[in-house]
Amino acid sequence: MKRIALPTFFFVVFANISYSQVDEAKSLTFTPYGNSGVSNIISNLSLSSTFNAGQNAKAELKYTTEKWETYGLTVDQKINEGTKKATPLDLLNGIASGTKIGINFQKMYWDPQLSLNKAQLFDRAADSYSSRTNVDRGTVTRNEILKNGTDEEKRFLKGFATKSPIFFNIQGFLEQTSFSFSTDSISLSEQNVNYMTPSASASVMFPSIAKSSMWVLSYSYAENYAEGSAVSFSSPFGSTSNYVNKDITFGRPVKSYNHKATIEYRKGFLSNDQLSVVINPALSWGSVNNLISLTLPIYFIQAANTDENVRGLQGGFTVGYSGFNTDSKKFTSFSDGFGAQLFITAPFNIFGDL
Amino acid sequence: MTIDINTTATNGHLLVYVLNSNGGQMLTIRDSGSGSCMLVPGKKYRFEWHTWSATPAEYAIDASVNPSSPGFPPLHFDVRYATADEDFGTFEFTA
Repeated sequence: MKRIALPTFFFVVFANISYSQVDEAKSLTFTPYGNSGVSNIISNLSLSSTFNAGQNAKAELKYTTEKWETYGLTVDQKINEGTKKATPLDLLNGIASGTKIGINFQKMYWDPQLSLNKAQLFDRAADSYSSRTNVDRGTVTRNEILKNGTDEEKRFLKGFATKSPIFFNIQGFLEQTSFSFSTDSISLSEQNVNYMTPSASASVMFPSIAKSSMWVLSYSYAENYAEGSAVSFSSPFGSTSNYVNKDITFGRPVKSYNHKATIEYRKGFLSNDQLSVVINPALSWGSVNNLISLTLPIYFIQAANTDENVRGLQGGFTVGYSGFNTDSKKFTSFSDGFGAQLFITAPFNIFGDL
Repeated sequence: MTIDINTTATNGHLLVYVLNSNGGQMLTIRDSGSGSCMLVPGKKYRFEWHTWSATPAEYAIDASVNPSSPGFPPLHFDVRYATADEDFGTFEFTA
């Protein structure tokens, strides 16, 4: 079992211009931890709902074939502060409450073979470079010519775009959640139920190393159960003057569905060969509120660097507007739809776990 | 006559092709692997490789023609990229 070690400095600061107006719709669509269901360091954290409660225990098993197909099995369990171990699966009782079990399939498609014309242009540049520098012709690379070649040699490679791979990803999850509620306002007797909710996502990723960017198209589906607000009761404790307080939720949890489609772009800007700014605009539609939302996280705060390794950007500012209602065909007013947050989170990685 | 290829890719992706004169793929090796294919003496072929990684990565390619041929001297190639990078190289040969 591998436990995610959260940075001790992990916190989120909300510098919201109108934070009191952040409603449920915004909380569903504005998240500084990533805009899509892509399997990566950002969206994997899913800390937006758990960082107050504790941490997650997560185990992941991956198998990659020679044809660039990756199969993964994930077990993720919410654990409380102070808990020493996680028990996601009990052989007698099945999946424990708060546990998420998922399968993942990722396929990389990559066929960068050069056209005959481009191969011959490379030959001319590489032949010249090799005879001029006495480097073994067989080991001359495109990057070497672009770095140390003459202007004429570089000219052969002008407009020589390389073909990046395309990644297809499908994930499916089952999550066990328990609820306590009462349907009897006289006896106040509580019922406990467990619900198994499925969720799934599919995404296509188009990374570009040369441009330090990535396009992501994703779709996700999730089922949830929402419980009502708890009512607080105080009753006398025996014949003493003490009182016992109890919070009871009335009514069964209500099932809901959420479809979400997102188009996302990640772009890094370099300064002295290091990432200085990353923008991550995303346009998404969610079926819960039928809103089209636009979010723009901008990462510019450098991660704490305790060794020689650069850890990337871990914080910044995000603004969002949510948005256009596809049911009523109307735009939300700016004051109701606009949100802004200053955030600090795990270091951002443009290419995630690719 | 055969060409024998061994490759190693650490933290990145490597693709090696042996192509015939029409650009047809005779042999494809992905990441860390090995393979060989028959060559016809006197015919032209192309050796082509590509790398891609989103993280620092290292690659190695070893290739030789058996029996040995002056048209394809044994190739030993090690390359390391300190950051996310993509690269390629190619050359024509006649075994």
